[in-house]
Amino acid sequence: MTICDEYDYLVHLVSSYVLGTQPQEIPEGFSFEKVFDFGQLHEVANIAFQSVKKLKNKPSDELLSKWKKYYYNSVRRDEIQLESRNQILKKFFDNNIRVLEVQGSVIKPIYPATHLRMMSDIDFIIDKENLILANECLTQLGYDTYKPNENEVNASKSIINVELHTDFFEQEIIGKKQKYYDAMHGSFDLAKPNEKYPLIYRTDETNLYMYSLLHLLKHYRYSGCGIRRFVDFYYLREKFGDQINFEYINSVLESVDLLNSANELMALVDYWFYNKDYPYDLNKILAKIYSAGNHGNEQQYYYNRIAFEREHGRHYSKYNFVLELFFPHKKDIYDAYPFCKKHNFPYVLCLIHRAIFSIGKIGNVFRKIKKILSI
Amino acid sequence: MKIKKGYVKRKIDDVYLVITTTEADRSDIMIELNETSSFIWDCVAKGYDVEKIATNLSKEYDITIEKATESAEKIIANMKENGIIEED
Repeated sequence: MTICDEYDYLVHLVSSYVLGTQPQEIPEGFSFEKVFDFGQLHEVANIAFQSVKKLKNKPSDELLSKWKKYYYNSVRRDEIQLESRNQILKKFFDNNIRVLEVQGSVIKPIYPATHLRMMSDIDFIIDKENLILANECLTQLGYDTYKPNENEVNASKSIINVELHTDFFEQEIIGKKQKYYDAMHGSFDLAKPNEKYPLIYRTDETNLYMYSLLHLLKHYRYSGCGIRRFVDFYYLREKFGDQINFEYINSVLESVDLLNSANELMALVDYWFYNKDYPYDLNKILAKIYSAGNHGNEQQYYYNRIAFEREHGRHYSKYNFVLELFFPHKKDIYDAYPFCKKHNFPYVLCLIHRAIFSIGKIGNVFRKIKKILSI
Repeated sequence: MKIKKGYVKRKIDDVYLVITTTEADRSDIMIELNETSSFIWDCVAKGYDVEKIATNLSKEYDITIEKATESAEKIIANMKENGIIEED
């Protein structure tokens, strides 16, 4: 790969560690501060630190110490998340709630050390009928739960965030994201229970890879995704390559019209970690990934959404977003305000209810409008 | 004397790191231990008193009991100061 800017150099530091090679010294005119900042944005600064330690020309003492602290913090965070995960699993087990572990908790063990794979949320899939009980369990463990709707619970305690889902992807009968659900749903049917702890489920390697890929595609399409997610695929391939049924995955992706996008993204893994040429528009994909950060950002989402709608021949501009802020879809209001759904409110009543309950968030709305209009 | 609840030691690369898992928002509590301090940490975790720690230290590093006692006391005092060990 060619190193043209600090982002490329960050990827180089990450891939040098991953591949066990000696990293190149920082090119002249590049700033270590920027590399570190980008590393934090993409949650790979801890991996890059492993390569920085091997450089002859290191960052300033002050930055190096900051970088080391960030690295140590990833160890601490990992330890806390692991303990919280175990606590939650035990609580669910005691309450007879079966659970499927997904995302970070499952990917972490395939890295050389779990702390190297940073994780924002601990994600579980549970049966829909257990959502209320699981919510109570989390409350008993000291979590603040919020945004409960019929498909999801979000909870947090100090630096720990937990998300409980009821399937791999949410069903949206007429929504844009339905194809992800169509590609993969019925979580527990695609997973097997642990022999020792039969209420804890895991998917096989093929489904783990497919779920990770669909998740990446969804993020990439709607809010952007960063470098770290691509590192996951290097380790997934290295660890499980010969156990993954790629033919099956490709046929599923083809059936929901996602195969080309998947190939475009996976070619970047080849380019970064397997020294292959990138056969698509490299600048376009790098611009999207580098600017998004690990979790994407709101602005990237708006940008992607407008591009998506226009690609599909629909007239869509930033002003449509502003309109949607004031007049969202009825389904979105029902999701956010279960009271409206429970009483089957017509749209006008929903809007009134929403206006009353969001009066305190008016500052937020103006912040969003400002962001949208700046695209 | 015992390790404060919620504090754990992890070997990361070539250093030992003490971190807290209970005071999650205290990211300032991250203490690097060298080999000797790590050895003493393990002894405290086993519930040994200063005398026994010094005896073990003296055997492990082939130093006099006086020197071992001096080191153990100094390191334990430092750990107490950092709040990672406490009296029973």
